[in-house]
Amino acid sequence: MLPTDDWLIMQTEQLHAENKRLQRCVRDLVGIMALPAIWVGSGPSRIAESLLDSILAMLDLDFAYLHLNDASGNRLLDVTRSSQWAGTVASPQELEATLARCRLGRTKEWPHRLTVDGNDIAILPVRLGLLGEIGLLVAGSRRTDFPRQTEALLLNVAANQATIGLQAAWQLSEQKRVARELDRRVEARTRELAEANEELLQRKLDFQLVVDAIPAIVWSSLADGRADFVNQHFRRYVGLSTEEARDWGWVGAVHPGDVSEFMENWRAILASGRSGEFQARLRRFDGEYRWFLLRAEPLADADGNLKWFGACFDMHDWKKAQDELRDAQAELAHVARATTMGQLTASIAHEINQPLSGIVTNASTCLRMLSAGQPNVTGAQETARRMIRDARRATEVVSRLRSLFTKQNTSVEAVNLNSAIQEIIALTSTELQRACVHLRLELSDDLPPVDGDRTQLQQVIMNLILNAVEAMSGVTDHARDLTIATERDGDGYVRVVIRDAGVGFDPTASEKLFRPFHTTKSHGMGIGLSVSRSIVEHHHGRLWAEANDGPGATFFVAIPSGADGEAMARQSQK
Amino acid sequence: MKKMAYVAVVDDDESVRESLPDLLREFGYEARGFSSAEEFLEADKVRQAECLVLDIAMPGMSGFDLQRELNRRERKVPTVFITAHGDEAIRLRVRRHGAVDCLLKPFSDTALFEAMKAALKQG
Ligand SMILES: Nc1ncnc2c1ncn2[C@@H]1O[C@H](COP(=O)(O)OP(=O)(O)OP(=O)(O)O)[C@@H](O)[C@H]1O
Ligand SMILES: [Mg+2]
Repeated sequence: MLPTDDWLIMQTEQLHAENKRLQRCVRDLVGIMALPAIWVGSGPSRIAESLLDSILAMLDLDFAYLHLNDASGNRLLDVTRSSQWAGTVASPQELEATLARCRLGRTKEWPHRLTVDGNDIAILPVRLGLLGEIGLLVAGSRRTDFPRQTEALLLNVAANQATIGLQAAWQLSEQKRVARELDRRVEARTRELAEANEELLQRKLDFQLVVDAIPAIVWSSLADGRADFVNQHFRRYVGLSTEEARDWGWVGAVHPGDVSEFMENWRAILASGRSGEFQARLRRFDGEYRWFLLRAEPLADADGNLKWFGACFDMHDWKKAQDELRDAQAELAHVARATTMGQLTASIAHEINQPLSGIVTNASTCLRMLSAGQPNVTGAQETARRMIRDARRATEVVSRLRSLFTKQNTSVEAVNLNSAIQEIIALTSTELQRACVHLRLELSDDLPPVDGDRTQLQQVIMNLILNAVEAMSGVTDHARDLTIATERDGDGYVRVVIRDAGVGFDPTASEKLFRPFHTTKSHGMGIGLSVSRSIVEHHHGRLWAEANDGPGATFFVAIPSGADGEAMARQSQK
Repeated sequence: MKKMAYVAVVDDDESVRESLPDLLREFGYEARGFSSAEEFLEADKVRQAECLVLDIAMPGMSGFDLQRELNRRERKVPTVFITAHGDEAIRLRVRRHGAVDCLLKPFSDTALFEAMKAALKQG
């Protein structure tokens, strides 16, 4: 039977709508993920307001309420935001009072609905922090379908992001408090000293105290490169005492793999007598290595003796981001090599290289602005904002790419997997013979049908068979056995099991196989398994791999059977 | 004080046009971004750039068109091309045609810095 035009148009429209919804969810997620970067340096109330404004608009809520504790668990603040409608039936104070009464109970015992001025409102409470020690976020809406699954997901992610942001804000205020305390002590100390001893000695001590208070890793060394001073932050960070760090002792904190290059760079700077910088990994007191930018500046004293002053900047996260960008690019370059897709990928590469270029340039600028003698924080913030914008652009390209590969026209019918498999075997039998593969079929004869798209499911099985054949192409010391079995698993799922005797894989890395663009083949694209998994998950099923006891691998596809009442219900809900 | 060299960046892509001049300024140059070859030619009548960072593929006049036009006017500006379409083959071809360098997007700050130094030495 041929589909009519109307039917096609309807299908296309449905796809568009679905696409829109997913895009919106992804966009919202990306937006939420970007929030902590925007919050850097903000206080708790700013963060609270920005969070509530974001989710109120994003999820079309009627009200959002946030209760926050301070670091010692006492009430810090309550913030409420309402939609226009909610504003007319209840004041923020009334809502807050109703919710605050509930807050004392545990989230489990919370009501799912509230009646406000005769209106029924569905509410969803989300804890901030593992035990709610940070606070509580409550979202409410008149909509009968609230909260949808994606909305609950977004709210949980938002709560997580807020927790991260608030913890950072706490830390910041704690740091400020410590800095103030230090300031106070420096002042008091300075006054004492002024009375006792006015001249030389005082200047030296002053300097040391100030340098100790600087929240950066700072050191100085003699003309030959031996350290004669490291500040408190340095000592705390690497966990060395002043004595241990003195002379060449501090080099002990450099990553063993970086030491020789480190010394080479340092000697070159010493010999040049001019300022310079280089990168190395430094060990934190807890043993973790992080990348630092080390910058050294020469300074001659009144007698013409040269001394070196330096600072180390933590550039670990930046460097990691850059490495990840490079990997992403390598993946794309790899795709470009697959000639059939060459045309398409060249244009994707172009689309993604533009924002990547912006990101890399902005990151360099940002780092320079921050590590200048007088850090340009405003400029750096602006460049960071642009990085987020460009990263979002790149993300959009990637999600377009993904939907291109997975979203074909789907149609749902009752599929008999046994006959679907037999059709595929008929298609691949010549290929199997040529590859000297011995096929064994163990098809169950009371297999219930599954609901799904027959062509897509066949594509999955085809991918798995071809992978199995390719995995056995080099096998010479035993038979190239391929078993395809179908069975019910007792939980209302139908399983297809595809077992080969090929090269197999590292059993600890079975998830790696499903990553897009992961391949070990010179002509592979590495998307077969990734697309297959998307298709199976689209059918509410699972696709996974296990290494065999003997040689080879086994791939499992599990799909809820259509005859199963529960599975049916689950499908019709969607 | 030494006069700072004035560098013009011509690229239709907003991300690049915004970020590159900032980085060049961090390097100590004076820099300005233009969204098309046409816009640059207008401005160049008023103040001449000492060096040009030029995107190859742009709507309207391409980067190559602009270089040809400048040659026709006997206005010699050392040029560094940048492109997101590129591979090594393009790079060699561009260099053979007299450009200082061709950087493939995304490029590192050091690559840019080296290219700028080479360009200004030539100019
Ligand atoms: N049956 C198998 N036995 C051992 N390794 C496998 C098997 N199936 C897949 N793999 C490993 O997983 C990788 C990814 O598989 P996938 O099908 O996604 O990509 P590909 O086969 O390399 O390329 P493409 O399917 O796009 O042509 C393969 O390159 C291979 O290393
Ligand atoms: Mg494959």
